[in-house]
Amino acid sequence: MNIPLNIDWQQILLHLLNFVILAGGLYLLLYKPVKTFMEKRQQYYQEQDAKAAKTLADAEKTMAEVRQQLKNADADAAAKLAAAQKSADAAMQRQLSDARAQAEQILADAHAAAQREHDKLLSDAQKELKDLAVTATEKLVLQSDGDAFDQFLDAAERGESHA
Amino acid sequence: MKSKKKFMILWVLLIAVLFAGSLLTAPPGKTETIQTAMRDAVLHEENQISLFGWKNVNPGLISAMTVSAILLIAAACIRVFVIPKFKLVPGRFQLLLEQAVSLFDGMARTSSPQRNGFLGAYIFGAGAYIFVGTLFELLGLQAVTTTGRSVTLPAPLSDVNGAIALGCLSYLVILSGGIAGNGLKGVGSTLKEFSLPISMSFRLFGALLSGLLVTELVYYYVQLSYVLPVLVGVLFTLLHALIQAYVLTMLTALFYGEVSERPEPASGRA
Repeated sequence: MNIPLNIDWQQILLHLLNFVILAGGLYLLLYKPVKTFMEKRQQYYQEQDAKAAKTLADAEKTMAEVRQQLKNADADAAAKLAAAQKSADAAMQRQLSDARAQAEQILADAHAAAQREHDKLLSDAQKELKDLAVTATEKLVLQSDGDAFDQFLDAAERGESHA
Repeated sequence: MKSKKKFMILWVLLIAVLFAGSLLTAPPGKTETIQTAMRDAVLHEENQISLFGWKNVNPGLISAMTVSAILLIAAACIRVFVIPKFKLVPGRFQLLLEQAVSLFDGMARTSSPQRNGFLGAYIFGAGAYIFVGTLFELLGLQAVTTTGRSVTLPAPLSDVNGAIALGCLSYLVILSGGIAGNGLKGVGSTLKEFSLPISMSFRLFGALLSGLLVTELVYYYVQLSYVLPVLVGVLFTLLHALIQAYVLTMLTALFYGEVSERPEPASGRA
């Protein structure tokens, strides 16, 4: 049977065979290796992207932690500063009070010492007076040939005082 | 300046000599009429070539085998020498290969999102075959027919048998997509497009045959063989190579995607 346009089934099959060999060969030699390479590259870049995103997230997390630590450090420093200030104030107060107490003590001691000195001087003076009086009396008694009592009165009337 | 003038004079003289020679050495009578040449370009009744002494075949089949051999050898060379040296940042040739693969892979993915592995490989092969096969006629390789005449090997798909083979194979690929995607329903939806193999085959055949006939016509007359072949070559070969490769692969991908698409399950009565 003659088919129009000189169509030949055998040649069609030969064309098909030829094309199937070509398509298979191109698939194995070009299409698949190139596609595999592109997929691997895409996967590599996706991994890199994920890694970069993770690194970025870690860095942000670390930054947040550092910020928090800084905040905490600031708070700690402020607290420590306040405590130190308080402690220093307390120490200062304590030292002031100690100094005051010491000063009061020193003053009291000084007062006491002064009092003691005063008393001592006074008693010494009294004792000296007594001694002088005794001495003078003895002298008067020994040197006067009159009545001691009258001499004493004469002396008193003349206003003589004991040197 | 003098040497430039000398070169120009020699060049123009050479052109004039060759032009005169080509006109004067034309055979006194044509071996075949333009009608016979045109008719034979379509039907290949006279100019057949012996296929290894086994069978007389159309020159298109010899072209197809030559194109396949060229493509496979080139692909093997690329596989051995180029692909192992691929870099993460591609060079020009690597970029060209990646673009070619991405073009067909992307077309398959877009047209048939669920099932596209085989489709991508098929349209890559078909696209490369049509493109290179159409450009092949520009080489003007000669073959000797059984009658002892010398003929220029044409584009493989300007042979009706080659066009029918590719059109029908594309239809079978679409059918396989329908079966793989939807079973018997897919077969039904593919068979509804019963005119597809004929339209795809004869679209290819018509487009490439037109280029062949125009080229035959141009080269039949010596007077038309100057300058004009450049325009004809661009219009009927380069553009056909691009357009037909794109049209067949796009149609195959579209129909494949259509018949292999699973219908969405009914969500209930409205």
